[in-house]
Amino acid sequence: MSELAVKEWVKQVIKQDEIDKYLIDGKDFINELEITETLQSNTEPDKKQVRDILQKSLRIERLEPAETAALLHVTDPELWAEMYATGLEVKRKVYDNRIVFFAPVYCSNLCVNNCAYCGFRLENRSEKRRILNMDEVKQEAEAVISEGHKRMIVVYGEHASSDADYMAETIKAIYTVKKKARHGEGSIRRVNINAAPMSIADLKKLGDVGIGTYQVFQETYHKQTYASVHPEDTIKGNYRWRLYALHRAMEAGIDDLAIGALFGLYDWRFEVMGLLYHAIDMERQFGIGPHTISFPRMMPAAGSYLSTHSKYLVNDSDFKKLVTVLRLSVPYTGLIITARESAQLRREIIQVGCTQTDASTKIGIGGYTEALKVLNGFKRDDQDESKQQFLLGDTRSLDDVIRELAEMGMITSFCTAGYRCGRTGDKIMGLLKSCTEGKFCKLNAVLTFREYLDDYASPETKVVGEKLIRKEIEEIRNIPFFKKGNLLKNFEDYYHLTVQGKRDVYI
Amino acid sequence: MGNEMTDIGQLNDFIRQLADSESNKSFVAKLNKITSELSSLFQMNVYFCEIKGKRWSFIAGSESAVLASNRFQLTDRWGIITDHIPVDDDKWTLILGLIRTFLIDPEKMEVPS
Repeated sequence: MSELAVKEWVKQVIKQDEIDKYLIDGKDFINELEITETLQSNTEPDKKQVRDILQKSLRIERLEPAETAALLHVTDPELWAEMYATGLEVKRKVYDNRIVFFAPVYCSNLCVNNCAYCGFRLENRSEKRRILNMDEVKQEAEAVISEGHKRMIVVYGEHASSDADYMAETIKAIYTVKKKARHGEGSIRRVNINAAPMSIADLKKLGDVGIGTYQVFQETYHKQTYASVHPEDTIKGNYRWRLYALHRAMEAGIDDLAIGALFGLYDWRFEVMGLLYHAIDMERQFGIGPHTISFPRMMPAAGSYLSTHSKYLVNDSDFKKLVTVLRLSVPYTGLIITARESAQLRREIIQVGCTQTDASTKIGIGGYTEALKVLNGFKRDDQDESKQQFLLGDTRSLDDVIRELAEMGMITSFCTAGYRCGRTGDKIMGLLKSCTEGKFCKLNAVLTFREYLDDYASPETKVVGEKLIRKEIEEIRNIPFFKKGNLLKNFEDYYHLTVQGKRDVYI
Repeated sequence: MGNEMTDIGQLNDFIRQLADSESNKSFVAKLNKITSELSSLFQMNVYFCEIKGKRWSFIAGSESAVLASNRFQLTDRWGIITDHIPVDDDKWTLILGLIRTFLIDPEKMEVPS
């Protein structure tokens, strides 16, 4: 594609009317003065106040900004210990003890933006640019399926050659891939997308091919910081175009939406407040909050001074606190901790209420296919800074991470049932807030974990997994909710079918 | 539950009336009315989904939890999910047919978000 064609494409991306329609009195929902004042006026919460707020979280009610600000300023280590424990309790009420796994797949690192923290930025001449063709996308899907994954998040740079039509093609291509497993065939059952903000018309193209979740991170909610790291003359330089990306998606009929911030660009307490205000505005304008919240920390990226020298880099202790406060502030939402973080930290953070994670992760373009070549002895398996957006902290295999979680008493789930049976949008919000969805999570976690143990698990993981699955089934048989109607019988029938080799049965 | 055939007749009348009148009501509101009528006549929880590829997005109907096992695709674009099937197969086919007929014309309408 010619440089001129790319420039012409850039000019037509932003539709001002698809920003203005969501503004209230010409203003967006990030009122920095209000956020700063709320943070400043809640710096010394007393124990009773904090404990009352925790009770509200346990009722699965979204917190108000002043309540979140209070939690962000707790200093007492004992209270933090209570908050960590409550975070996990909230998660168990809403989602039970399951962790959903996904695989990120990077399809393209061509990008028209110039973000100061990102290895993909236009001016990074050391980055080796590549966009996968559909055969290569399918090869990546095959490699991911071979690990046992059922859910992907596909990532694209913002560029004319990876526009909405290309994305729709990749989604369709991935859904066609089948790969032989020990029993039957594996496939990707849910394709989520992490991509740049789009127009409603483009988002409809993604909706039409059956997208799972659409994920856009604001990076930073602080406007001055946003302007300083995203040059004004780039698409990403338009703060509000990005801020309302998910509002447009909702209008396009995509009702599973994911927000996030890149921690390390600005003060972490401010960013938590920004995420909360984002959730509140989605609830206010559409009645549906975010399906998930992500909180990636800035990691070293090729040629990015900022990625290693920002004065706002978040240390491990504060990181754990911010995840906990997000858990407590938006109790119904999923929380994603990724392989950016080290194995040790992930272990710890999962215990304050995360619901999703990744493993066996490769973030180079064509990274999974390259890794297979390594397995076959053709190449060395190093992370290649010149092909990645950033460097990973945890490169363990899916099987290793699943086994570790099972040893911790947490069951891995590959469930993709919800979006295939109408548990989406306000329906799933209601089920999450009433703590009903977690019951379905439990059943579908067991069914998909059974599939994994039989189709992909190593002998070591199978030993640990069998013990866990027996415990889960015993619990299911003893929980009154499952004794209502035919639920338990249906589950047991489906479990039996899965043991016999039938795949993709869900409740 | 009353006489099943009478109930199906009542459902037929209801859906015809809904299609012909109340043009000021949104399509989603009409779908909600159908689910209420089904609940009243057959004591079943039902919800409507818009189908896009693998995705079945919730559009209208019961807020309560419903098993995924009773999923029925009615047109390329619409499906329903029910917690149980309250009548025998023939009568169930009749009920699905009535709903499908209702969906075919309004299907051209844009679903308001």
